[in-house]
Amino acid sequence: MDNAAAVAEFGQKMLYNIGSVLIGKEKPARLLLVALLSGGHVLLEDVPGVGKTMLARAIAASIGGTFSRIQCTPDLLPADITGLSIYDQKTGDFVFRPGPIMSQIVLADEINRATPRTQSSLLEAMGEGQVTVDGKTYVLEQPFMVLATQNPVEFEGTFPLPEAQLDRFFICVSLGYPTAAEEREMLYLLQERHPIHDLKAVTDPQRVRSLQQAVSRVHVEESVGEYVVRLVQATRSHPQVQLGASPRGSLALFRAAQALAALEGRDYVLPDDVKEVAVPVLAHRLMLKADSVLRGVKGAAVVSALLSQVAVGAERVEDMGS
Amino acid sequence: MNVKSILPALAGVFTAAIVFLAARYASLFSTVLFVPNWLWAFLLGSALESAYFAAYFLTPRTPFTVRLVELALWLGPIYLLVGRSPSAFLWPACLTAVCWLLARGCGLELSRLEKVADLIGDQGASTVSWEYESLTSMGQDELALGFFWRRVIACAAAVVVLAVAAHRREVKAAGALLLELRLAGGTAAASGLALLGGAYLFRLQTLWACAKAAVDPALPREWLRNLAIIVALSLALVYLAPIDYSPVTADTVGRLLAAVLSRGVELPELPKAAPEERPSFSQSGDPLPEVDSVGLGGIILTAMYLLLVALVSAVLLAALGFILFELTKGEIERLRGLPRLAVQVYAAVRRAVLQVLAALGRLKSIKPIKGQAIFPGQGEERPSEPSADRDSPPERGVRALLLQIARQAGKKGLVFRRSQTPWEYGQALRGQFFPNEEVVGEFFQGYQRARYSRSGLSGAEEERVLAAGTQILNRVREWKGDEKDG
Repeated sequence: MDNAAAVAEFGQKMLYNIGSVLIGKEKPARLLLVALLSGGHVLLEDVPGVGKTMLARAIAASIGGTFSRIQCTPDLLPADITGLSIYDQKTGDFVFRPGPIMSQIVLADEINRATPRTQSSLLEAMGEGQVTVDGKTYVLEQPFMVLATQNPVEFEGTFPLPEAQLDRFFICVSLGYPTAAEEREMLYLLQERHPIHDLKAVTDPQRVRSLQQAVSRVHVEESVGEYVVRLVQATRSHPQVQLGASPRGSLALFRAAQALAALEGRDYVLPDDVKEVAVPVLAHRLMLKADSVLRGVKGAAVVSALLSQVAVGAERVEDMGS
Repeated sequence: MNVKSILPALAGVFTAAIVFLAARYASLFSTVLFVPNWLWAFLLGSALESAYFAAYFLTPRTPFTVRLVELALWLGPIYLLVGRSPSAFLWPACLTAVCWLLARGCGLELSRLEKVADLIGDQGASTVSWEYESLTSMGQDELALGFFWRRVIACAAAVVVLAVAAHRREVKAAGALLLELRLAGGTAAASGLALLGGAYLFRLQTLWACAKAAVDPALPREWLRNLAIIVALSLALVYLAPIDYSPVTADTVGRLLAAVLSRGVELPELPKAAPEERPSFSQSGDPLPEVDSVGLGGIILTAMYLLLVALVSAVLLAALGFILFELTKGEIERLRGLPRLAVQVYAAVRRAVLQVLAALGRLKSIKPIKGQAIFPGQGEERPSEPSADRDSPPERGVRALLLQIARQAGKKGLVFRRSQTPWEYGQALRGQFFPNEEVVGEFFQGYQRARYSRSGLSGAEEERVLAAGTQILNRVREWKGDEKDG
């Protein structure tokens, strides 16, 4: 079995597993898999009660890695996340107690309720895959993935994520409400016992690491790479955008397209893959101008508009001759 | 060395010189506006005192009465020197107060520039970084050095307006007055330029101090030395260069404006309009001629005049809007009626200018296009053009076949837009020409492998895909609009 086929099989198993817990969330779940295979972190942004936390738990249970959850509150301290050294009276020495960040899948629930100081303590872990406490650096076990959730409608007592931290989230996913049929099915599915408790792992962290490496080898033809660059550059000159996507955004878009192609069983990327992941990868990285924000313009709308404007660069007319 | 110690002096000299110039030009219009020579000492003194006091001692907690006493200390002696005559006191007092206030603004701005760490945010001086500073200075005028730039430009514009107005009234300055005007103009230009450069250096010194950057102490001295050289060269150029080498001089501009505002513009390309039928907007208050009697030239002239009036009104409104916008710190909800309209005009003008600048920037970034794009998408923006394909132009094979299909389908109305992927175009083709056929999917899947995969198509696969593509091409060629559903 070649690499792409192995990734596709992994994706099907994971989607089936997640689908047994969450009804009708296949598209967000696929995007989460894209982030997982790309080694990125995910920001789940939606109203309460649509399954953000459950989706994160299902992913963690499906890959069989270590999982921890941080319920972010205004009084949460950085040491509550990274861990701290405690004085051991018996040995007369300081002993490091690892925090929840030392797990492979970390769910930071309602991240915007934590103070900026605490939020920033996640930066090093998300960006570098390591944590420094008391001058000592601890390398985090791979695969490492932060799944953060935030509620976009309730702002009282919250601290909006700084741009630097938003940029470190590989994708931003919104789940949305289920349809009536899906909601009915969910009611009966959860009638007796929540299936999350019975969810079995379909793979293991070692396997996920090898699949991540396989994804990085998916072929991206030169014109597709140029399309990625054009798209990201277009965000920087858009009249409604104050600060466009960063080079980290280009890398994320490139990598996400690779992961999506692999999940489709292909060992090459299409421009369609880039288009499909462009909104979740780029929209949250844009800092819109104040007047655009006041007019209710969203980053997703800007990226969607750019997708219908930026040239894909497949073929050109002069190639036809006369 | 800290450049702050000399900046208030420059601001004071600049302000006094500008007020001096304005007062001198104003005195050309009316003898009532004449000012005695001793007033210049008061102007300079009040400007220097105001700038230094604001830069070093004034705080938001300073009682307002201190300011009033400060101003009164300058106005009191003037009142005594003019013989306690209120009518004679009014004009010198106005000039002194204006000079004092203008210098106060400069001093306050210098004081504010020094508090960059407080303005940047709650992270304080320890996190001041060049990156952050450059970002925050980009779009926010209150953090940048725009104040001094605007101040110098506005003062220069005001003096130019007075000079043009004096020219229009054919008031000639000669002799000692001309010398005074030249000296004041030179002083204003030199101190204004030095103020701009010095304020920038002061900003840098503040940032260096906040960021604890180790900077060569000789750098500020070199900066000031070079600034002095540049200012001296500029002044030398202004005074020594032949001033009549350009056809666009203050003289010609003044004459043109005077002609437009008083008698109208000559329109030699409109021979039908007889000279006596030209509209006359003379200052004697002649009524506007009937449109029918003046012909096309009169109509154009009237339209131009109205356009000019509208333009001047818009500029005045925009200027007023700018002032109100600054005063209200952008909270235009506080304003009603005309003030709000002025702010909206200002916002519209600013937006238009920014859009024009952005469009120019985009034009710059677009590379020249070799030939016409294959798939001309109407009304699409072009953020940038794709570079040439990595492969040579396809003369045969699957890619060439797609081009032929696209060209034929384009003739039938289904244009391959630049922003469409081949697969999206295939879906559009299927909807238009092949509602129930899988041949489109077969061809486009093959195309994708040929175009984007590393391995490409094998011989047999390519034959099959080419056969599907040929079938599509023939179908598109034969297609007529009325058989869409067939």
